[in-house]
Amino acid sequence: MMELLQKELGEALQACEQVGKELRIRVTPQQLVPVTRLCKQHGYTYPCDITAVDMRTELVLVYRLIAPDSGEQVVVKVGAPRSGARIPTVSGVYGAAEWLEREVYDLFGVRFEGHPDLRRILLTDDWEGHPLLK
Amino acid sequence: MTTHKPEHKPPATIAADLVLRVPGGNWVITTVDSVLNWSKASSIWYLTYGLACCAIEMMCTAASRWDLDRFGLIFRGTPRQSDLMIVSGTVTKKMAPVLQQLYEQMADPKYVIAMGGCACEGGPFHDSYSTVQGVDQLVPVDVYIAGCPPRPEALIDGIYRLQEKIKRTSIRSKPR
Repeated sequence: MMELLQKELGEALQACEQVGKELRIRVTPQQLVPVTRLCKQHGYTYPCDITAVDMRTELVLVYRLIAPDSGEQVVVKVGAPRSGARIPTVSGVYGAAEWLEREVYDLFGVRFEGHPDLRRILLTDDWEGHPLLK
Repeated sequence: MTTHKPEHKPPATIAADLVLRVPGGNWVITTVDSVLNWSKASSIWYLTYGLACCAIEMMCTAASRWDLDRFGLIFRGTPRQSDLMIVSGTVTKKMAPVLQQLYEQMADPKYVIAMGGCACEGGPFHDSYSTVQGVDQLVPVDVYIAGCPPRPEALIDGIYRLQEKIKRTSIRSKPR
């Protein structure tokens, strides 16, 4: 998988590291949807989690994709600005990503472009702000 | 060999401490309040409403080891048939309107037990952005049970306190 991603992405692959059964990569927002689609085609059919980390300088979105047959994992990281972030949605690739992205929007304020129903999911609709931003 | 004479046993009454047996008569005297309160306190049906980890303790209190059915308490699946709501766990702000609606759907007389620290005053989620700081901000609470979560014995003690409270009421008092 590592060689395949290096061949397909080339310069767009910002970081790539294999730790045990886990392949950690970092890509640009433009490459996110093609990467997840490629992973899904190669058996990574289960989007285990989508979350974000506030690094104070930037937000890092973390997509953990699992191949149920082999147990291999791919962790895709994408950098985003802390306010007004706009990231393409992967709900077209993984249907289950829809609610996970709603959660990231709710708690971190990341707007997913092309998301079919981007509403708050955990907090009330009249909540102001995004509580997990530091 | 002496014949065994069976001991005289008094006839089983519905509530021995509430009725006055008239000596030499076949009838008893009681008050409407004591019979009504006895029946109310002995058949508290409570709403199946588990919110968080306290719900696990509530479920195990209802199960065979502690067996709330001994006191006439059984789970009901609808607020229309419930007398008691045990708020067992953290009430989030998103859940608050649901809790209020369920409380309003219950028929009078209705009682609320706040079980555990979260339901009493926020507990470990004190000053949190997403939780209600005590369920008494939403509905009137009859009994508070401290603990995180309270043991089944504490829940049973809270139910005793509620039964005592019910037995102090009168049909002359106004419903809440």
